[in-house]
Amino acid sequence: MDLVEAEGLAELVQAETAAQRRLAKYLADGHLSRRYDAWMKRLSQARALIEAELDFTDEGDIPGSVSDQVWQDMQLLADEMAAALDDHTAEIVREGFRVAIAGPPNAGKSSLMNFLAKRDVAIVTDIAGTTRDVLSVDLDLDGNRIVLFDTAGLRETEDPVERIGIERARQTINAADLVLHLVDLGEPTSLDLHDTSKLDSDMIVVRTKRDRHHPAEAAGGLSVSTVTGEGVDSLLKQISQRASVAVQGGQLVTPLLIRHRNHISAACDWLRAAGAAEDHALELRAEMLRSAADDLAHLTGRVTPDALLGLIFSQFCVGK
Amino acid sequence: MMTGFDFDVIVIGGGHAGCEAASAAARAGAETLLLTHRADTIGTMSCNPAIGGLGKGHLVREIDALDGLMGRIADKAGIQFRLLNRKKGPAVRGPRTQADRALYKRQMRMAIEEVERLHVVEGDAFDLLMNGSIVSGVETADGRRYAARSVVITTGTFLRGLIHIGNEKTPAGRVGEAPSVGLSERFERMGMRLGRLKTGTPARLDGKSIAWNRIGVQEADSMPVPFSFMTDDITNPQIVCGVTRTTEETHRIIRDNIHRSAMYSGDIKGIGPRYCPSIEDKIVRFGDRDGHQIFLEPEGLDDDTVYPNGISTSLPADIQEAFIRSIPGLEDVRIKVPGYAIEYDFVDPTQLDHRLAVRHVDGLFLAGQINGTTGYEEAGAQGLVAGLNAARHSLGADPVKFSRTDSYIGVMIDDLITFGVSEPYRMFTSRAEYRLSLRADNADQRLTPLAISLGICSEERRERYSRYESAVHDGRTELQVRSLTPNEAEAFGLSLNKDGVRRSAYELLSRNEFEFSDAEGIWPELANIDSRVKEALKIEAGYAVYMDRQAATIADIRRDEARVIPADFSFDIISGLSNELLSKLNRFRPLTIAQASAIEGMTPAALALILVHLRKSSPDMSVAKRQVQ
Repeated sequence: MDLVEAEGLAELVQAETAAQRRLAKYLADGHLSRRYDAWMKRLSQARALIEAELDFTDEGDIPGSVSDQVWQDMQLLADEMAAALDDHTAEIVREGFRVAIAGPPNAGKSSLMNFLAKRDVAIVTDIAGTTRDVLSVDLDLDGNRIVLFDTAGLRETEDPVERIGIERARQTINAADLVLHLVDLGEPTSLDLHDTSKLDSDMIVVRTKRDRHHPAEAAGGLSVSTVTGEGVDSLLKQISQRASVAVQGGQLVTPLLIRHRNHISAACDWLRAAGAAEDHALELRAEMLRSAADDLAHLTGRVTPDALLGLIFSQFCVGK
Repeated sequence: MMTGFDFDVIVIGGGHAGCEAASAAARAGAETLLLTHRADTIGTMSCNPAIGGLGKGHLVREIDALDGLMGRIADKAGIQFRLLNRKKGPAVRGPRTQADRALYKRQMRMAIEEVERLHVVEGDAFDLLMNGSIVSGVETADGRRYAARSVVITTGTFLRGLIHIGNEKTPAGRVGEAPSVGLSERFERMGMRLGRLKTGTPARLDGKSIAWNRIGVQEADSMPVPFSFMTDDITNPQIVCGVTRTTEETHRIIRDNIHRSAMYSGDIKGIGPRYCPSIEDKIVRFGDRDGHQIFLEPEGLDDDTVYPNGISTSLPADIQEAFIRSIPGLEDVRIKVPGYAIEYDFVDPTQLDHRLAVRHVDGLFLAGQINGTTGYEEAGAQGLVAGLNAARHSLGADPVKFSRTDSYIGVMIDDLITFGVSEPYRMFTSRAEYRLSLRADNADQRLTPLAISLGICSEERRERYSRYESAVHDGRTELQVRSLTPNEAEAFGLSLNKDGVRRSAYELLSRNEFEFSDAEGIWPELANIDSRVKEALKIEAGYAVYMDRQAATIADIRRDEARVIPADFSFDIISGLSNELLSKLNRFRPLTIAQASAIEGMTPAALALILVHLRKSSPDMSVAKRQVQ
């Protein structure tokens, strides 16, 4: 078992939801290690070609320039690493699908939070602006981990403490995978979410306090009551569906531990730098590839200079 | 010193390792005996008549910076100087020259005779004199005994050497020279692990029978770059080499007779390298190529012998003649001496420490091909390290360790004693992690100060170097104090970012396209700087940003080199290491954390485990604490 697989095993021990267990099993089985190894193999091959050009120019049997194919493939490799870093599927599985409860003050955000959490996690009062910090609870919906964030009501305010709370709310909304946009059935004010980066597709409009209104008013669209529990199942079903869609189609074999992300991100940067350094001497670009390999080696183990020479000797007729 | 001893250091062997070892030991203050079969073979180039190359040229520059012999002798004997990779960056440029074989030998002999405290004696070293596990001298085959506290063995391919030409086998160290048998047996009795390697050499041709007008030529550089810091000019006339290629017919002859080659008939048990030194290997492994390049290298200015570089072989003599005559230009060639393969014993170098001393035998040092390397340069560099440390051992001085971070010498020794060899070890620039810092051009700056502090540097070099060093220092200051703004630069046709920031001449020089002559165009007084200094400063400025980046890594490695793993440390008690890593650690027995971290597949987590256990198992906590800091 290598380090990356062992880290997968450690994940397995901590796994709480079915999806997390699947992910951890995936890592412990070596899927991620194999992906990293494949990257290292490509990088080593590229380095071998460059080193051959540097170390065996007097041999005559090394093709004059092998660089072109190398740099092209290294840019593709960098793209692949970047795509892996951008694919948040594994992160969603591990850290949870983030759902922000947003809306104007007194829309019932904290009440919904408490109802879903089945315990009093947020302080609920009728005074607008009570929730200033961001609170969160974890839910397990159909095997997916969901993290629910309660946020401060969004409004103009002079209170410096509340303003900080509102700023944090906006950050939470921006970082969320899904926003529940709460609107009081009785006060259908439109909430200004335009200064956040959320698209309509990332949002579900939830009308609240259904128990205080005539059923006819609640017709059409989603409405809930945290007093009677009406509409909550339907809401949970929608959240669960969204979470399932978010982790489907994505790749599980992506670097999710900070340690992995840091090294891959650094390796990716070195590859891009090497690709861009066209006017630099070859040994400087080779040095950048070596740095990329040094970073990746934290995940795959070291590839020695002698192993690179082995790659050269297996492909080229060198030696006098 | 030398109480009760005849000598401080005895060096066995007068090849490239032996000469450097004897010279270094004597320069380090040891009364030194160079014991060789035949004094007239001192400095013999038994294989190709060339010194230097990529990676190898770096070693020669480092030997020279430590005031060794090889660079100076090559400058006096060189007849075709070429700077390889001239179009690439300075870190991968490799000086090389072909040498006049006779001239090289004569110059080396003279240089050896000039060394103070160095005595040359002929004799066949048959056995070591031992006092338990402590070396006390050498006994020759004819019964002479020489007592010394340190012995350096540099016997090359002579340990149970066996020459193969086709199915003919002749025990020999070189053609016409008897092998050495006694020492191998002594090593076995001491419980040392020996292995067997093979190397080869091509036939020697009669240059008068080559149709030179029908083949290509390779010229020497018009401005030869000498190896040695002490050489001002190359005075030998420079020759051209011939260039030709094998043909389909060559390949067919070799393929049809491959079973008669010693290397393919099963006669040779020694391991050959993964690269292809023999023409048989080239055809078997890369036979689909249309041809393999051959350089026809004249062996001397007054010598008709030609060394065909690229077709070393162990085929029978008649087949050699047949395939060589199928090569353009060689249709009517006469073979002077057939090529051959040679098998020989080597000592597994993982039994050595950084001084190239045998770990469990006090006073025994090994250098050169006996340690599994190939090449004059690799041998010479090891000889210098072993001779220097043998002298310091005898005289009671601290050992001198070379590091991967300061020299190719350090890279080579660390590779040898950490990993051992699975094929004849040859230097390449890709072996050096700190290639950008370890350049042929800055070898003097890297190592001559060390040579001076060790007292192995001649007064002449010391003075010349200190003049050079202060010229570089002054030149650097001149460049750093002169600066201009982007607007001022524009007046000189130089376009810079219009950021209003003044840039020094030194900073400008770091730009690829900005040459020293451009700086002189702006500040004419800079023309007064010595041309060698100008070149050094241009290179230094160009690499400065990368040097800063490497400095941090180098500091890490130096710290790891200081973290010693005790010889009796048990890796088996560390739980959490993979079986694969554990077996590698047990096989390589790293002496430091730096060596352990160089092992293939090593991870930071595994290193952390080793460090934790080192701290636990160390009886002296203060030592351990220092180690894990």
